[in-house]
Amino acid sequence: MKTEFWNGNMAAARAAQRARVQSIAAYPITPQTHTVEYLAKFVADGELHARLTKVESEHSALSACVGASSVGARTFTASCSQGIALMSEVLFFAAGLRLPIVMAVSNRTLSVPVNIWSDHQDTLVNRDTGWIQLYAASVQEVYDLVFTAFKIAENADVLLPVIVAYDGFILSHASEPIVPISQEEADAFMPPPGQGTWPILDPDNPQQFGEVLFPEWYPDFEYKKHQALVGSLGIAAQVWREFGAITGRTLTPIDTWFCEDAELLFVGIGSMMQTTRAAVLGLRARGAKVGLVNIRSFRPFPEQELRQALAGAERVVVLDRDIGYGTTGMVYPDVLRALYALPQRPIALNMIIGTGGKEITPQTIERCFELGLEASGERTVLWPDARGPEEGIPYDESIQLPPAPQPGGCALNGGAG
Amino acid sequence: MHEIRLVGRGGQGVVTAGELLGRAALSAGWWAQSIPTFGPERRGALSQATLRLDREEILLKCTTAHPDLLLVLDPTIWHQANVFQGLQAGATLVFNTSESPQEVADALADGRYGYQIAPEQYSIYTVDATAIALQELGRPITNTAMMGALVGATGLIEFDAVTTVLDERFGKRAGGNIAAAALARDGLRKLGG
Amino acid sequence: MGMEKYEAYVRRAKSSLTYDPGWSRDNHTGGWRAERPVVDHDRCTNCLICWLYCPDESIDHDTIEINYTYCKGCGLCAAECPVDAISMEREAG
Repeated sequence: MKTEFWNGNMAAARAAQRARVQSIAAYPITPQTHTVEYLAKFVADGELHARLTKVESEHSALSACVGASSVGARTFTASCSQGIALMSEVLFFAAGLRLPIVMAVSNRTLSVPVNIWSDHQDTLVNRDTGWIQLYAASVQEVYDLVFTAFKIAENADVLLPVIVAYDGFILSHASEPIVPISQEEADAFMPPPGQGTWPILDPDNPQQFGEVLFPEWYPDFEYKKHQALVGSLGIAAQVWREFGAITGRTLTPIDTWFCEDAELLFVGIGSMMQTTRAAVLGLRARGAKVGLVNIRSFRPFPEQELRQALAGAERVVVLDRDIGYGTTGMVYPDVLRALYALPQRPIALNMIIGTGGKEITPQTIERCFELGLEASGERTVLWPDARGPEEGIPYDESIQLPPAPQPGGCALNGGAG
Repeated sequence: MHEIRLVGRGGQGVVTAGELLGRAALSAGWWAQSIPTFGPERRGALSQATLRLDREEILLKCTTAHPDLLLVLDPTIWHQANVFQGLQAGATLVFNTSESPQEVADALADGRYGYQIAPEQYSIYTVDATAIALQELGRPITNTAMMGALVGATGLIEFDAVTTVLDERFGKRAGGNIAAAALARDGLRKLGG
Repeated sequence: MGMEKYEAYVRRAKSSLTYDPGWSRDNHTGGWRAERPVVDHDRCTNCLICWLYCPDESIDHDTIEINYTYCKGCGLCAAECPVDAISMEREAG
């Protein structure tokens, strides 16, 4: 196939088209909007034979997807930020009903302060909904992950929905060269849609779904769902190997870079890990023993693979483009779990960077490297690119602060007589 | 690696220019990356894009802080932001302005644009892309003319490749845009040239 | 708009970010203009249609003068003027 120059949203839409999705319901939200527009155009132009359901909200969008998937359709949606927040209730339904819906998410932070730019807060707060969560680091990966997600999701041993997350604007609106696969290759790789690897609502073969389950039986069901998610790691790896045999592109649950002799290893998810690769190359050229691990599959979490990659490092710096308020970033605890079983545990630090779309540049990563070498490990959560903390950016003390706003009682009291 | 900063106003096609130049660069064997900078979209307000060209895959997923090429689509945009920030020494600056390269160099040296920089560090080109756009398109949308100017100033991308992407993108309206690009390429004036 | 002001308000904030009212005054949107409206006061009949239509309140009710600090150059006034007393002229550059 000819190399295309697509942005991340186009890559997601084209991948869904190649997978021959049959049903799409999505509600537009910045920076995901293109994806829905492109798919609507493909359908209108007759390039894609799918039902595009117009909905009035994200809650309805995912509800419509649940309906479509329940009758056996290959189903796709896209959202981010407040949109996923509004979907939240239905996320659990989709996973609990074991429906293989694929959702592309152009990551955007959550309000307030109002902000349309990228961080991973929107998907990571939904890490415990039962969805598989894959993070793309380039536009090519957006395409490859969205396309392969259908095959992973619909595997009869998985049957779980998948989120493919990619940074808003930085990948959603950035164009890069990408090599799509041909429809012939796609059809040889992917089972035809509507094959019914999962139980469906069918008038000729009536079944009931989503019933009440009493406490005595509930844990059994939860265990099955959990085990399916855990087991999907191996199935994803297998699907990606098959895909790699066609495309020559390697996708794995984690990527390792310069791990063998590294004293300090970065760990993280998303496009910032590509920038980190660039920074690591620069630091290596100056003699620093530094490497990185990119986590592509965050749910299921590749604990064994990660432990193996991190063994031997003296220091581990987990980069989180998100914050679990009151504790740590949301990637960090899982990395700690992987480290815990090591006989010699490294100092493990958590650096919160790039929230609300603050640019992560090689200089940001170099600052994290310096801090990572200096830090004693007593304080684990550091904020190198925020103003305020001692490791962060200093405030300009010469700037005069305006008078503090007056705390108020109830504004309505004034009118009460 | 070449790092290009494109600046202009919302509505002038800064983002489209970055994307189309990247697309054209692919056919010249570049690994291209075009990253628009987005805020609340407003017609007339500052709009920026980053275009990177390299011979291998570009790992950076951030906008450029140190461009070696600055493409200015609007003659008055410096009232809104320091578009010169972080320029590499020796960078090429291509301005849409009715002024001559010498007048621009003088303005940079005496700080008339609000930011004083030493013009002798840079290769400075000017072209009146607004006049060209008004003549060829009837509207002051300068992006396609400035694509031609970039080709003329740098030779990084073949003009034929630009023609091809303009044809693909604009279909029946491609003619005026290609004419604008060609006029800007040919009308480019270089400091000392 | 000055980043200094952002820094001051962000640093001051203890709970939610609270600005003093009137920030729009600092946002000199006149810089967005590619063309400027110019009023021919001899033709103007003082009908105030331009004043009514201006989305940025950049036309003075009493004098029909344009406030170029905030006028974005949208051209609505010129388009709506019933006696063609407003023309759009290219900004210098």
